[in-house]
Amino acid sequence: MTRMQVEGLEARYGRAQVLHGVSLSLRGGEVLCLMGRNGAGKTTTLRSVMGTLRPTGGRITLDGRDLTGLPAAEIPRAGIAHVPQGRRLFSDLTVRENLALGLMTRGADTAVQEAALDLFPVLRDRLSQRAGTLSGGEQSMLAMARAICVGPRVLLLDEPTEGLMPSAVATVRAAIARLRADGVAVLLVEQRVEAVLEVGDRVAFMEHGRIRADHPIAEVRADPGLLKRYVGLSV
Amino acid sequence: MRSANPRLLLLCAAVVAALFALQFVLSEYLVLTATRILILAIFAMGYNMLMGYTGMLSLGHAMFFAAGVYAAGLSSYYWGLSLPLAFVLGVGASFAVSLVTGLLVLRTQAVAFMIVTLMFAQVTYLTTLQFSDITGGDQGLTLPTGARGFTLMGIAVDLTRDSHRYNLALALFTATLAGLFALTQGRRGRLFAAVRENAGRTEMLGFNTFRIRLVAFVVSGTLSGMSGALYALMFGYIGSAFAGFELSIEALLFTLVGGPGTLLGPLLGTGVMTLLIDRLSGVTSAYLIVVGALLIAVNQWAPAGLLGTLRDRRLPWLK
Repeated sequence: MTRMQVEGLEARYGRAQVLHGVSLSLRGGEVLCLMGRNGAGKTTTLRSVMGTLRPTGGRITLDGRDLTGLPAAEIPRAGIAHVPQGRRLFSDLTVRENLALGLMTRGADTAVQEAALDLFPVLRDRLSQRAGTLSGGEQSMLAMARAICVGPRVLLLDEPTEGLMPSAVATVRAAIARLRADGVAVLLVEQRVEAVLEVGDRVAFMEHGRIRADHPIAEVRADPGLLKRYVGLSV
Repeated sequence: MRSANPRLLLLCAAVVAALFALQFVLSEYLVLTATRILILAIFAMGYNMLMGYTGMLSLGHAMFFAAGVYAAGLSSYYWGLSLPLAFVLGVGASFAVSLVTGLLVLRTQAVAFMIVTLMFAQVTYLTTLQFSDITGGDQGLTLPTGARGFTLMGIAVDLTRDSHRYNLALALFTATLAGLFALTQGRRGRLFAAVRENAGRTEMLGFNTFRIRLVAFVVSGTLSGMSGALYALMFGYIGSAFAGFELSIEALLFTLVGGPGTLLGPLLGTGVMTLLIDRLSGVTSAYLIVVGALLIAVNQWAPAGLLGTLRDRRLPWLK
């Protein structure tokens, strides 16, 4: 069953239109990877879904509920969490306090926090440490853990493995796989092809603010030309 | 219920106990000074709620102090309202003023917020001067001595007596401290800190940041007004100086010196600054130069204020 449906999404930065009718659909327990060159509109799509950039057209539904036009603060409460590019933590607050803010969003209980910490055990030893003093990898894990604490039905991840060491990348990928198994729908913006091929179920290719193609992961694996055509990469 | 910050709770309890004991060792004059410090500390704690915990720098907090001063003082002076009722009226007036002002000024942020709060405060100040036939203007009004006592639950309180004033001020200071402890060290405290650090990120987590800032603003304004009402009724005087720009700056200085975003910082800042000015003004007429130099020194060596620096370097629970 469709968890989140995005239909004909349009968005502008000032007078410049950057999204031209983006349509996506995500089922529960599915990982949809959004790929495209820089400036294709991937991050803008996530921001428009979250309401931090108000869409100028289109419709967003979550389990049939229309979220279009809701204030940005209402979207996480409805069940969509976002891990933006660059982590965006509260660096003066401790790890525990960052996680607690995630729990407060929808009133999730501490069992959710425990589940998040099971995915990123290194954070257990850092609970009293200020988020700003964590390593880059730990900050990425905390950003994901905080989003998980929201108890989302849909999780939007914007390049969660950017700049991470291989061991941290593996932890993040394992966490995504676990979320999928738990029935969370994941919309993943990712540049690392191997990560996409490992955790993705489908790949939507974006170009100039439009979805140009949408393929099951098996087809992307079988046809390296798709990645070359839309992303300029070869596997 | 488990306390959010047991070490800070213990420290607060110890401070209150020490303040209670202080009246038995201090001279009459110093008890009076300590009373003034406690009342102004409530004002600074209110200011700290907004500036220290939520990150909004207001230049107009004298407006709320004045709302408390005038609502309590004028109702006692003209209508002969009993002191408890006048006090409640003062607190209610500052609540109303801060709610209405907050709904308007919280549309702005950063420098614009500072300017708008300053403008509102100047309007309040000029209003007290314009209607001087009622407010007494610069000259002010002195509340009649006979109207400065009351009986509460069988206890006769005489606000012309130093010990009564001190213990009443201490009781209200303690209540304020307890209320702010509950507000800042619990779940909501994290929200204030999150807004202070980045309102956009807080909103992205699903929180209405306008509402959070409004709560902080109203709590801050109401505490400032409570301090004003108390000051007017305790010392029996109301005047335009209580609405002046200098008072807003004092609240800022008390908070900066003690440590913004620390629960006990405003008390320490108010104490240090008040005693310093009192002592220095007896030694030299150029005391403000010395105070200024000390402020620069604090800014250089303890940029987060006295307790704020201690928190950052040694005691992270001191918040």
